[in-house]
Amino acid sequence: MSNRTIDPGVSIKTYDVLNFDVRKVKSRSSNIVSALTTSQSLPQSVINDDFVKKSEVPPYDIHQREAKRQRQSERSKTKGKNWFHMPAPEMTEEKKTDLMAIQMRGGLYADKFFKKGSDTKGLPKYFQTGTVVDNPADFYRRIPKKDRKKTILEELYDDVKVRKFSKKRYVELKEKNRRRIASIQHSKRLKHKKK
Amino acid sequence: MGRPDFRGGRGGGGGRGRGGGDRGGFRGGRGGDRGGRGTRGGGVRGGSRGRGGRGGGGGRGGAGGKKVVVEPHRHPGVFIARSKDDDMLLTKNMVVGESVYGEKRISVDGENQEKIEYRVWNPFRSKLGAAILSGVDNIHMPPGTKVLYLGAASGTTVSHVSDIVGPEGLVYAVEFSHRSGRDLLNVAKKRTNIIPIIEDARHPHKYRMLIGMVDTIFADVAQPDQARIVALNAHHFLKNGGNFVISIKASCIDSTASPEAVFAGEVKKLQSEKLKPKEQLTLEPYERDHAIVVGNYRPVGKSKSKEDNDKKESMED
Repeated sequence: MSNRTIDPGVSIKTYDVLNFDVRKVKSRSSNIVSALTTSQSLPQSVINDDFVKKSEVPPYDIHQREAKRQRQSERSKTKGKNWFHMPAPEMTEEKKTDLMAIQMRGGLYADKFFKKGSDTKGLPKYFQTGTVVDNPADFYRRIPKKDRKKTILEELYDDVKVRKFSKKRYVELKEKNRRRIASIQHSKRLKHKKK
Repeated sequence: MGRPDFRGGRGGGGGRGRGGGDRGGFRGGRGGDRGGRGTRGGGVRGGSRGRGGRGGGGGRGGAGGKKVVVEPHRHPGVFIARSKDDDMLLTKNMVVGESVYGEKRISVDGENQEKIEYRVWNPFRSKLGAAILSGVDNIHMPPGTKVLYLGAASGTTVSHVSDIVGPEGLVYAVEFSHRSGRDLLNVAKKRTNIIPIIEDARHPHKYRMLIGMVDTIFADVAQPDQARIVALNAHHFLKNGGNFVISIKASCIDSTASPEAVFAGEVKKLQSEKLKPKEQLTLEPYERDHAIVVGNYRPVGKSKSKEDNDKKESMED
């Protein structure tokens, strides 16, 4: 039977004029106003909840110089549309060491020559790290799963050839250095004797 | 701007001191283990069309699972990967998860789960790739350009050009041979910015309704009347101030004359057709007796081009 009664849409009790307190009761009309002014219904609206609290109406347009600054900072986040917006990633310690290892890899091989990279000094700003995808055609040339490394530096550590060569170089340099220092000390000693 | 990332190689390679048996310094003395090289030594590649095709690809680009760092190259749309022991030329793959001719791919651990992939570009299989590594000044194909590609063959280089110009660009790939045209069609099926045209490039009026104005013409037709073919197509489709990139194979034009004489003759022919060559370089470590000529078509006057620039700037604002 209850479904026969007509629903007026409002609770009559809310409009009890005698006991009505605007501040306490959330009336339907105020709901509509708040719904209109909140950012949910009009996401681009300047008039939001804390608009009333502001002492002055904020300028609608951003200053030209400020806008330019914002555009520039936004633009420098990627390499631009000519390189399909390659991002400038956050430089972590791992990435840094990897990039440095690549820059200095010329000294790690006895039999390899690397062309000089870009002319800009320091580390590149825009780059991505990736992995060569497995191809069934190169099954016998792939790196097995257990030998895969997370960074280029780890790959270099794991490379026997690199390790051997760098060790050899290290010993050579050490020996050279020792001799140089010894000769200097010897000449000093001779000078001392003459006096 | 700075100087090119890969230098040397022009006129037969400065700075490749240590190469040994290997060709070119790109790879740094590894070489020798390329699959499929036997299939296309010398003579096989001689024909203008139907070069190597499938096969090959393997060997170059390092083993699966290797870590690399991808950096932008000096040329727009081109990238370089650097691994612990070699460098590779890359283009950003438009069709993620597919390689066109068995080339290596590099997947990038992108943020927010988007898949980014690059394809390795083998300079020994692509004259344009070789030109980039030889240090060409400009290939005039930034993302968004419309390119007319004459002599598309099976679409190996075309796929890389389509990667470079990106989804906003277009590649009209003209190829006469049905045999390699079949492969080209398969490539074009997957890539929406390639328009394959199986037609003789000598008769541009036959396909003129398919092509609008283009910004750049790339020609790799290797025919004795190559200059005429390029000029004809330029008159039909190339915009004023557009550019052309032509690969000239000396033995295809005149096998008796010296390559230098042939190149000079071709450049003369181009000049007589309002095609103004700006740059010429040999592809020496990568191809024998080949030259790339880059130039401008009916160059726009200085004042005009300045007006255009002003217009562009005002539009951007």
